[in-house]
Amino acid sequence: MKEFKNLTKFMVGLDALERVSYEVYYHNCRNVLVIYDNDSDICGGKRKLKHILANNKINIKYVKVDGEKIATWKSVEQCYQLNKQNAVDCIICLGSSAVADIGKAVKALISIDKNSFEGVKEIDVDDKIQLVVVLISTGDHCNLASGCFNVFDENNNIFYKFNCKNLSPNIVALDRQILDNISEFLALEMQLTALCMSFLALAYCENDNNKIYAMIAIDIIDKALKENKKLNLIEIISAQMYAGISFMNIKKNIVDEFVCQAMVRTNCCYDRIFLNAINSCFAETIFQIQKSDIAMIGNVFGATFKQNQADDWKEQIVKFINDKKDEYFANKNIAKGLSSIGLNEKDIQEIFEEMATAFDKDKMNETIMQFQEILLKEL
Amino acid sequence: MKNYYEFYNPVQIVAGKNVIAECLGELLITLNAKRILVISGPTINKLGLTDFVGTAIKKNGIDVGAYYVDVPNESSVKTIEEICNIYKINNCDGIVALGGGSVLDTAKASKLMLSQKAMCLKELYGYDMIGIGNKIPMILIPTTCGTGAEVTRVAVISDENNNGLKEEIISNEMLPDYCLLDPKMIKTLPSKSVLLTAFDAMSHAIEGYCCLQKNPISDRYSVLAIRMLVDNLEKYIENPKDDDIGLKLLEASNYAGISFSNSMVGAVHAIGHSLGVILNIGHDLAISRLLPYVLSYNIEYAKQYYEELYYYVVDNDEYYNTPKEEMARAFVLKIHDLFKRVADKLGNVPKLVDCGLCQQKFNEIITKTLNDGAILTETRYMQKQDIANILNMALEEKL
Repeated sequence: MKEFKNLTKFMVGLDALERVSYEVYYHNCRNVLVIYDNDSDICGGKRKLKHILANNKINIKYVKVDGEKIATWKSVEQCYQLNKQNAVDCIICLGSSAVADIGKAVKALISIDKNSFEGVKEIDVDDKIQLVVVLISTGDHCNLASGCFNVFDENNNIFYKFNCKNLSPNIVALDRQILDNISEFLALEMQLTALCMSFLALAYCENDNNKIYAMIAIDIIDKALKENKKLNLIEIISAQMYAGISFMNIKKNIVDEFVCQAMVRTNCCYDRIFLNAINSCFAETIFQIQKSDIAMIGNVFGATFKQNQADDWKEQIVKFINDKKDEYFANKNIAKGLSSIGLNEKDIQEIFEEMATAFDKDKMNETIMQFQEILLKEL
Repeated sequence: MKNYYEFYNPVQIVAGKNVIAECLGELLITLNAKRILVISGPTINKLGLTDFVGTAIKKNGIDVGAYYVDVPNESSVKTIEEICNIYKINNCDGIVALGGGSVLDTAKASKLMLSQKAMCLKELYGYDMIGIGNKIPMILIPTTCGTGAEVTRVAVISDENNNGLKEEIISNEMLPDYCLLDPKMIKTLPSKSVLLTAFDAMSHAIEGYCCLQKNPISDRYSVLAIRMLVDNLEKYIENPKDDDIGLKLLEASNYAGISFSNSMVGAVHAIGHSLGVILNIGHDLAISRLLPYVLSYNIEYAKQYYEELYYYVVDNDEYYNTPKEEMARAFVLKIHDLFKRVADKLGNVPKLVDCGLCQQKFNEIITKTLNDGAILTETRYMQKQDIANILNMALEEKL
């Protein structure tokens, strides 16, 4: 049996932000909580949102949160308290994906009617609260359109990681006019992350339906490259977001788990840790992709699938990704290797010990051990 | 990439052999539905499928409040209002519908009327004219491989109060919570019905890929559908009882539905709708007969798209042996030949000329086509002469 669901409505392109206001009215929202970060202030996103939501019938509370790479418990608590006073029926997250995680965490807390995640294993999500994400900043968008969120409690040194059914945002809006610009290097980083995530999803997702968004991400990047043009910001971000939907559907996703744990221990962003972590095992991943999936992806990035020979295709894809990785790691400002990121052997061992408790030990032991070995060799 | 696009498909798809027997009851429990109205049509009912679904519902201790098994071939206002009354009188709190496009559209419109507490259906006509209503749990089960109605946000209803004029209701509020794709549902149907509707799905997928409102997500759903249809249509004729093949056709139709519901269709559907009404023929027959001629007529405008789609209709050796400049034409021929082979094997698939298509009817068809919403998203701007040319090609069967 195959099951697939994605709750999110994607609104991508020109004037997407303005169309968000229509959705808010459509859903008859009365008490809106807008969570935003500094970047949304600078780029004018908050001002624009304020303008389009200007309607006396809506009670809107704005709360500014720190622009962290991981959502912090402090920010979640701050927003949750505001909800207590206002009984929000719509949460709009304006900013980076960390802001989106704060929104998801607040919706989760409202759903369980608790002011803490301590001891919480499963969350039955309240579908009456609309969760809208308007992305302003670039960066890690892999869990944006999924039910996953990460929150770090700095005071107690606890890292919460949830993947809830029905917690993916009701709307994700990508509006070209309010997205910040990025360097070519960052564009390459995001593009490479999107591609690697897509191929990992194709190799390890059990359900065909879960692979569709990975193929969409590959299509977007490949089409742009075939047209000999540089990917625009909307294409890069949407590719990463779609790749993330499939990637997050990998069961027992030890790569994601490792990267999130490493983010807490270092000052490095998700994409950079991810690319370093899979650097050595990527080729092996490509060779796990089934022939039927290759036939559906077709001729991308110069790889041709002729006479049903999947191995040639795989080799060409590995070469394409390796060339991109070489270009990426050639940048002198980029940390190459896990030690440059700030991880040492002890960190890695501790992360894997935590992962072993998070996953079913018996079933996952071998895979976790293999991955640990690869990463330790990297050091 | 286009300046702006939206994509939305919140329906949970559950696909597999025996999913109705194994999952339907449990899914209704998750929706907190306790007393169900089951909706279907006479043919499906005669085949015993309504009873089968009713049993699957009751297995989990859920009541069937009422059955409505008389949905006609064309959904009508009267039927929908009757269904809503039955739902209320029997204190139902959820809907399960099984059938083709007409039954599923009827169920969607009934859900909307109930959730909006509308006094008459007319209040709901049009594009997104409705706000959020009360929650009515609904599960849809398709019994054809063509319409994709289980995932589309449109219902076409014939209004007998207005000379049977077909009215459209378009709203996300009509979408079901779940759709179940179970090959058992098509096993007892005649092959002809399954295969002709599958060409409707093919048209959804191709037009969804080539129309003006295409987007990267709908594109991928389209190509998946096309590949699955090409791989399985002929196999189905040889093995109509094979569950794996049946499931692939159901999934393909579902993907094509997701695609065109988030992009649109084009001239095949615009002309097909007119032919259906004027010649009084089935939608699936009109669409499958027209498809190759519209594709052929549009070749200059949709050349790049046809070249891309060619990859999905041939094996990769054939793909590499075809010069790029010939791929678009080869794609059209492939679709034409596939239909021809299927029609030949089935026998008794009437030609449009046998259904009464003649030049005297062109003006009426053209006028109706130009008033059809689907023509607006066609990849090329179509005028009267273009439609006349396509009709001539279809009449003379010249590609």
